[in-house]
Amino acid sequence: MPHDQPDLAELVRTANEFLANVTPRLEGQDRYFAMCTSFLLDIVQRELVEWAPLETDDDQRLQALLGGNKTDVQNLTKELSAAIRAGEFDDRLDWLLEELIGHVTSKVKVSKPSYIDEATEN
Amino acid sequence: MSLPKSELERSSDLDEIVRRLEIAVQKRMGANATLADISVATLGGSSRTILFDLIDGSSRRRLVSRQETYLMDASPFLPPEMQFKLLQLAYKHGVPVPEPIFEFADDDGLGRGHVMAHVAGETLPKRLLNDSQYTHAREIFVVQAAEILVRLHAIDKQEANFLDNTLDSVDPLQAQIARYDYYGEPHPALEFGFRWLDKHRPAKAVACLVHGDFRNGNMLVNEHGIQAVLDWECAHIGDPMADLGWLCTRSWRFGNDELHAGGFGTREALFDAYEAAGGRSVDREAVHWWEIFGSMRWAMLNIMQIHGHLHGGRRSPAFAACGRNTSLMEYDLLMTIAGRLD
Repeated sequence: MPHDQPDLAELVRTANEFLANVTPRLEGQDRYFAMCTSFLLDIVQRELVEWAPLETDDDQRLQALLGGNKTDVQNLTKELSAAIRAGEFDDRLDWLLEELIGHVTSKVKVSKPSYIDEATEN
Repeated sequence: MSLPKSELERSSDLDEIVRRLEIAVQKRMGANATLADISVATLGGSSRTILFDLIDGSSRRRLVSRQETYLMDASPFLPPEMQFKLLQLAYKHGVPVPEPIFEFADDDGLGRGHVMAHVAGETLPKRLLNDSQYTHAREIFVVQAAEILVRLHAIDKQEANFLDNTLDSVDPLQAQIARYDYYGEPHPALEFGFRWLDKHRPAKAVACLVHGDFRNGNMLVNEHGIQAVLDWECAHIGDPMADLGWLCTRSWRFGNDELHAGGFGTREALFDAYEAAGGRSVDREAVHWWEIFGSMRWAMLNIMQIHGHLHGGRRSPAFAACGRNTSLMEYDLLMTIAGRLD
């Protein structure tokens, strides 16, 4: 059901703009927690934009790693973790490493995209 | 304007804690001792830190009270009584630490914790790495850190035998896997890390007392250099290369990525200084393993924080942020294993 304006991303942005205005007037722990909260809202915004599709590129990657078996998206990381622990990938760890770098990179792009730029600059 | 209820509760709790603290101090120092200039350091997720002046006749000394306030299941941290013993041990052997004064007893009504001397200085890594007043401290940091580690690693480990059977002393990798299993949050990247670390374990080293959390952020520094090493709650008996590797772990460089040792100096400068100070010869491959272990471990500590936030009733935006920051450490972990980050 379509809601009235503002949409989700705009709601988050509005809250974050307010926070950015008051943060300079806060001190100590309140100021630190306000900055953390702003960081959290930035994540929500990126996640809404990049991970809103029901099936993301990363879901497809993890699905493929599990041999294409249809797994509930919520359980993908759990099943993959169990398979790695059980040694099911031990004969192709180099290949798995590259796949997991792709998986983790897609998480970092939501959590803190600047982290990847900073790492590759050096 | 009235304070919100929670603030009122907090301040009256604090009055009671300070009253008990004064009685505890008087019990040890005499009835004339009084506390003044009391302030509460609010940061610190699992302990309460109160700073105060102890006034006794004409003498006045600044002290710090540290109480454990949050008990976690599967905690990676040593209980306060072991931390106090470690402070005593380090102090005795000339490792720079705040002088331990006394431990709280049950009838103090202050829970578990202790009082130690206050050491002035800065711990915030970004300030230490950037502010001009620390220029000299930065220049000598690597040599100082190496000398401190050599002194610590030379302590007869029998004196710390109360640590012999902790999880981290017995098998540090298995200790992390046990905590990971307890938290129950699936992380394929960390599973890969465990696998890689297990297959590439370094040669077994002659074990000694290691600090376990020796990094930029846990040292009190002033313009003359390192004044005290803090946070002994991860100490254990193990490979001395672990302290070198953790100091060089990418997260503690705070953006100075070419200066591996805490953002202050290169790995080679640290190794040279460690050997020059009389430390054993540095096993470079082992240090590399411990750096990779370090990224995994820092990911685990972030998972611990989000676990406490979600399940431990200890909530804050900072702990929520830690949960999502886990992916950054996973990135460091995998990219370092792949040889694309150093």
